[in-house]
Amino acid sequence: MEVAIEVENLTKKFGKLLAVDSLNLTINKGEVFGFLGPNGSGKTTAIRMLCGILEPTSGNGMVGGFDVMKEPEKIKCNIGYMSQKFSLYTDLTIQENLDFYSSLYGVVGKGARERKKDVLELVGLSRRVKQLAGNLSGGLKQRLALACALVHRPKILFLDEPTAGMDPVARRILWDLLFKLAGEGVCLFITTHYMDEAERCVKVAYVYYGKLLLSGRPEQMKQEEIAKTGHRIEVMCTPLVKGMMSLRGLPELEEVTIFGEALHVKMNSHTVQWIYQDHGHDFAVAAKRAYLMSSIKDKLERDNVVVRSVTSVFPTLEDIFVSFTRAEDAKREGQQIQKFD
Amino acid sequence: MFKNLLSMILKEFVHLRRDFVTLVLAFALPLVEVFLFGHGISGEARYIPLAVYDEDATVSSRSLVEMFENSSFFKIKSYTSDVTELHDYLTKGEVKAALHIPKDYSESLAVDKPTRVQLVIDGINPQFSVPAVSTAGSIEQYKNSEMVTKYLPLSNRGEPGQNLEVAPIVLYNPEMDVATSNFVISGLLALILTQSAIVLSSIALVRERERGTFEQLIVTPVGKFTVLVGKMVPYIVISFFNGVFVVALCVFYFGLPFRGSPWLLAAESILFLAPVLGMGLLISTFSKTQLQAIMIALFAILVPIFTTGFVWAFETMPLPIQLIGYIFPMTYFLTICRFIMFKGVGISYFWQENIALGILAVIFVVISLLRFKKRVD
Ligand SMILES: Nc1ncnc2c1ncn2[C@@H]1O[C@H](COP(=O)(O)OP(=O)(O)OP(=O)(O)O)[C@@H](O)[C@H]1O
Ligand SMILES: [Mg+2]
Repeated sequence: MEVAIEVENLTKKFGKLLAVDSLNLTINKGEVFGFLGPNGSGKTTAIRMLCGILEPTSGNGMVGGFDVMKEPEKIKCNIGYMSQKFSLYTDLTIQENLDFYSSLYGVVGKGARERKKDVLELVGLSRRVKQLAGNLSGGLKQRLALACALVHRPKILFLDEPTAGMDPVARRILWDLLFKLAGEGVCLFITTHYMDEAERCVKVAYVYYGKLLLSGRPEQMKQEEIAKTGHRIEVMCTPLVKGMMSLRGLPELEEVTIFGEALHVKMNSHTVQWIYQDHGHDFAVAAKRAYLMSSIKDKLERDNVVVRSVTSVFPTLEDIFVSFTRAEDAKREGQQIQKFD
Repeated sequence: MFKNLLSMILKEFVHLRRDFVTLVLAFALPLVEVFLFGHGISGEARYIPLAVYDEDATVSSRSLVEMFENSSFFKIKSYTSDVTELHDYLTKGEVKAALHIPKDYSESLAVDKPTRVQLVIDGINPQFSVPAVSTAGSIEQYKNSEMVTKYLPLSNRGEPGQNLEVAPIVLYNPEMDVATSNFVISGLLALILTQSAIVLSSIALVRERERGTFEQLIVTPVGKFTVLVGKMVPYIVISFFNGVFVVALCVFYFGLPFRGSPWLLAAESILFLAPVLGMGLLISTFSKTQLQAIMIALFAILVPIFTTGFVWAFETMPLPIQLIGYIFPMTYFLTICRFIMFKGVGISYFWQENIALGILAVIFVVISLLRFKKRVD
């Protein structure tokens, strides 16, 4: 597979602040890559470096075959970038913005008009071309930004929170569009705070305080997480809050959270070890898990909670990120304490 | 490359068109300024307050006083019949000029004898004293020739008479060595061009930064030069039209002489705009906000007023001030303007100034190019 983006130890410091800390990534052509992390974790900073508009403090990187450090202008011909903050001209119309950007990218001549029409069609703005960009609603602004980032058929597309502020239908349409582009071989680098979007990515990476905590394919990450912390258990019951309180009294469990109409339960490391590691046998694992699930049901019924179902499920990406974040926090706290000693 | 530049320019024009208020201001303010400057500073000061002591008090002396009044340069503020009072008016500053007509005025003229009318002028403000002196001169001349036709027999008419002398005395500043009105007004073109070009261009880049559009612009492969030049062109056009208005006002309204070639002045104006816009762009690369840019731009407009020969002749200024003046394109352009307008000479008289403008333009644009990075931070 052809590599589109490859970075090694990419680092950015703002004064003393380490915004991006030795980032290592490899992303292939045609992949949809989700770049995740809490606010201020350095996602935008990393994207800006990859786009050649922010000089890295150190490290190496190749984007579309060009060096991030040495050839930022060459990178710019091959990429599209949609910034997190709307940054098109609010006093220009949709058509004027698109015309301006397409000409800066050298989309001129015969095919240009067709291309612009297609792109507007694609993002669903064809019938508003004369409207000022500043008067568009948030979601429509995002779509216009996408159109401007797409017009020159970039090989790599960087989208910094493209769906922020979009309605669910528009989000779904956008994602369908993104997969279509990926199918055409475009590499998509996307940041988002929506976990359902993260789940759709072919590959995800999670950064925290500028540091890459984990990366890989979601399925594979989930398998690894199960090996480490076991399956999650989903409990449908009423009333939910009472059920949560009841389960928090069960010593085998580490965490009980409400997830929509269900309780999402994580067992503690002791239980995980008991279930998975003492006897690697599949049958034994299943039996022990069933035992745990029935004791959960018993506990709830004893506490007068109506239980509809108890099932074992895969951990979500959110589960994984939360547990990595906690582990990292604990590590940092340890370091802090050491410092103060 | 050329297509890029064209769309950059077009885009800047659209910004201007959508920001209608700014566009109107860009044209209206300079015009208002020229009017104010022209009338405020102009030596064509009208209605200089005058005190009169007409000791003769005859029909003939009254007609002389009337001439002063009708010249529209003087306005009679008070009559007196006392020399010391006349003097007091002047020293207290209640009037700027005092006229004394001697007792024997009409008598002397009637018998073809010389007589002297005294005009004492407060010379502190040359904007008053210069026209006062020249008006006195023309009144004297007119009266003398009138007398020839009126009083002397036909046979004796030859040379105009010399009997009346209107003797001006300028107190306080007898040399009147400060700039005359034409001198200052002739610099208005330079000032207005500087003003409209530098203010508009100094915010050109910062505005993109402040509005957040900079990031999307620099992520395209567009060249730095294209961005800078594309931003300059619309401002050249606007400033140029402002310049045309200013020159028209100066010539047709304020009656400034224009002896040289208007086409040459137009070409020189465009040459002058290059370093001025370069300076504006440089300011733009230094500023973080539009407010900062405007503050620095104001400074870059005011400093040349005092250091480049706008108000006082450059040669008469102290050396340190001159040294500052050399950095500003206005110094050279003022010379060029005055040469073209007053002396009507061609480019061979000011080729050094042209070279200086060219060098400054290159310096400012190159530094701007070096300072302008296609980076956010
Ligand atoms: N130009 C800058 N100067 C100084 N610090 C900066 C600059 N840009 C970003 N930072 C800091 O770097 C860190 C990372 O910021 P960044 O914008 O990359 O986060 P992010 O992951 O994109 O966050 P969000 O999810 O809120 O968009 C933050 O602590 C931020 O304050
Ligand atoms: Mg961000």
